[in-house]
Amino acid sequence: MAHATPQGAKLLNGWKRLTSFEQGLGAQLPEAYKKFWREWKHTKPTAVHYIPKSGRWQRDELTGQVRPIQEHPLPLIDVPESHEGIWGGEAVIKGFQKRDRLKRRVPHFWVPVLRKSVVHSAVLGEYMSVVVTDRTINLIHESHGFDHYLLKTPACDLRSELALSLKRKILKTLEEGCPNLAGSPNKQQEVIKEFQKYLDGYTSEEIDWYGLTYKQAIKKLDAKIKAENPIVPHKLEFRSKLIEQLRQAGIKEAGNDDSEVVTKIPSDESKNWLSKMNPFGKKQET
Amino acid sequence: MFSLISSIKTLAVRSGVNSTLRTLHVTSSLEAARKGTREKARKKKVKVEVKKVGFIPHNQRDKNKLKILRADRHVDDSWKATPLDNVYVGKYYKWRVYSVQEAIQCHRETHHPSMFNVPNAPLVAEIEINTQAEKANRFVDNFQRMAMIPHKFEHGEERKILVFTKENDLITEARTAGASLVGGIELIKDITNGELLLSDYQYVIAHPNILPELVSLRGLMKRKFPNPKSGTLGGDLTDMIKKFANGISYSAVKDEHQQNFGLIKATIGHLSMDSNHLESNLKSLLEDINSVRPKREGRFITRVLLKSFPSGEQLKIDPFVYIPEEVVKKSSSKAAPVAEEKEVVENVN
Amino acid sequence: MLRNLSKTTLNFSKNALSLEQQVRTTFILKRRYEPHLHKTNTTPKKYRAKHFIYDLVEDTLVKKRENIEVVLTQFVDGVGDKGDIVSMKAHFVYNQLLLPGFAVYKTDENVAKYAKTEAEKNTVVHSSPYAQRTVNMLESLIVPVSMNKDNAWVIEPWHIRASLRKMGYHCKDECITMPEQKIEGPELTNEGKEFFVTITINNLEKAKVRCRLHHWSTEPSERLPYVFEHWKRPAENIFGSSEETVQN
Repeated sequence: MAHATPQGAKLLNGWKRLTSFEQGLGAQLPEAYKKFWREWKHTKPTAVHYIPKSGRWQRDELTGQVRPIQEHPLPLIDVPESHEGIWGGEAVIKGFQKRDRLKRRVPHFWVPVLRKSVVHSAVLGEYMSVVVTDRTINLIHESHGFDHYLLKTPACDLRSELALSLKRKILKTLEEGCPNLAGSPNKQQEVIKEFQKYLDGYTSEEIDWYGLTYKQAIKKLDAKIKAENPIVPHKLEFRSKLIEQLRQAGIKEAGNDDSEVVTKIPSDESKNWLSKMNPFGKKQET
Repeated sequence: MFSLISSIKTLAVRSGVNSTLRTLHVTSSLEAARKGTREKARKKKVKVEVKKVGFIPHNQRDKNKLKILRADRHVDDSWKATPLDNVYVGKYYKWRVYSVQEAIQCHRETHHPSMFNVPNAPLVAEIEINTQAEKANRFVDNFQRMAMIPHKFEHGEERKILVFTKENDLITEARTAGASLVGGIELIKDITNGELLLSDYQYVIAHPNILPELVSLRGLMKRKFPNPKSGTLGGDLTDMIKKFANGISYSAVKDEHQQNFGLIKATIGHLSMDSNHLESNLKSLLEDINSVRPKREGRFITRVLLKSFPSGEQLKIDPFVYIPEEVVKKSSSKAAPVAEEKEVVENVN
Repeated sequence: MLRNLSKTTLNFSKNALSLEQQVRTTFILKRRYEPHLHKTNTTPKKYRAKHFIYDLVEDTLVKKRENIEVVLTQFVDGVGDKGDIVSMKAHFVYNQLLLPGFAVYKTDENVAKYAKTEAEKNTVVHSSPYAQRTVNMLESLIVPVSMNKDNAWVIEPWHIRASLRKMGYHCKDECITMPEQKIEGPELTNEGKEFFVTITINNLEKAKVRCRLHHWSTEPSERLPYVFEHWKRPAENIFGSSEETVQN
């Protein structure tokens, strides 16, 4: 039975289900993407909706009992709309409110206050209208600009696919040396000088695979594999084989250059199509 | 027969019952006690008189219960910027503070014959005061006072002064000083007889030498009764008469909705007067107001505006050139100014 | 395996970032009932419904937001000159200064970069940050100059100064340049007509102020009838022609 398990004979910790990176096309995803995936999905995000406890132990004020501190982050829900805006790490919280000691708890959703605002990317040289929260704007102020904010913040804190795709775009543009700002070389140099430091953390391949969702990554990989191994129709293969055989048999029509044979067009076809027309002919009944 | 007997029985029983009831409740001593307690209880009950209120339209009912957000009348513009340019838009900056001379000059410009043509317009000082007393929830009552001024002017009010004194030379002195009526014991008699009406006279001044006789008029005069604290009883008659004839009579009125805001409107002279005279009048007015300030930290007079009709301009001046801004610390022997002020209110009113 | 790797590798980057001061503008919640303790290196115990009862600790949205400091990259009317460091409300700064590019965040490089050069200091374009605003406001103004209907007068700078003061604009006599031609009165044909005076701010900016002459009498019965919203009506120039007589 051991051969059928992903761990082989080591069944000590029980049956382990195959992850999406261990089966199908996912297994072929490059390490560059896996690094991004870890940054996005497996890193603990900054505490936004709760105040984290510090230290390892705490003493109960009333009883004096010492207890270990174990953190239980609040589960956050990333709604589809959060991927269309940049919420600055905020998300929807689903839970209960207990409004009175003698009343039953009631379900409640804490939804961040969203605003439509404009952000400016110096690297892309563009203004964008996005849905943001106040926290996003504050974070932008803190990191002294939208580009700095995106480039500084890890994927787990950005939380939004829009922000991640923008980050990839910015990184790519920076790597290429800001061709969009070629019109003003001074500004281009300033921007490159200001943001060059962020490129140190990534290799070229990592930038290429940064900020993609799993589906997008699979699509990209699929396209890449297909581009490397193109499917050629048998028709072409057999035709070229036939021509080769004919050539070896010494038939003149096969010619020396096969492309000539393929592209040769009868001379009468090259005539102007207007010559076929008879303006005085009988009108065709429809 | 049987029935007759039974009826007699019932009667006897009934009468017996009645007699027992009587012994229980009709005892005079008990009755008295009960009556007393009931009386006490009745006395304890305060009769609540239901006042009949006439018809009030629905939109005017419970008007004082409405909690309207009213702006603080103590205007603080210290957060605003200080103007640096030589031409500026007033609303973006702190109010311009004029010196009194400048403010008078500005009013004279607008009242110049080529503009409003009222060169003799009265100059009004609007003095805003913070009426908070020693404690945060205590406030100075509305008060009315008379400030003595060095330079008299036509104030346009009718002020009749009645002077009581005995000696002849004092009588002539009072007459020359400008009293409406001067007299001694015969005047007191006239008043008690009802031939002279005290209500015709706004102010009553007396010399201490007639005080024993004047005591009989205390009931009639009530608040007008001469009193050294209000300055109506004293040896120097001329000074007192001049003060009441020419002084500035002003009253501090608290805002209806804001307890700590009081406003004094007083005319300090006419624009045609000498500016220095106007300034010294204003100074003595401010000093008089400052004499009733409560013993607490902070300002009593918060803002002084000079106005002059028909121009709508309000020119802010700095009152602290003339009076100290904070409480001047003195030995504690002096009576509390609030208590003094209350008496003043009683007497002057 | 992936998970273990992630824990070790990515905690480095996280630690560096978490040193920064955090901002919270959102709902901050707290569990009312703490979940039970669990053994180390095991998965936490299953949460019960009561562990999802949250209390609101703070809603930072209703807190007062602090001002932010920026460096101006050019002269901004009513804000400041190039190179000035201004501290203003975050919302205004972001929408009116940072996004249009009138300002940049205050960093040492930016302060040095946008500091005024000697040449720029010498060529003064604006005498103060608010002078241009004053010019704009003065030029959109119609100053009523109320002169007496009964006494003879010639309009002098102090008449204009007093009229401006009544409207809440403060200036000095020497800033006012009157039109070359004298305006004398009382002349009822000039009632409601316009003339222009030039006001020079800080000896630099000039504003052409529109003044309208009105006649006023001390006697209420003598006064001219009130024209409703007279400032909204068109008015003729007092000198006949419109612009030539106005001194610039």
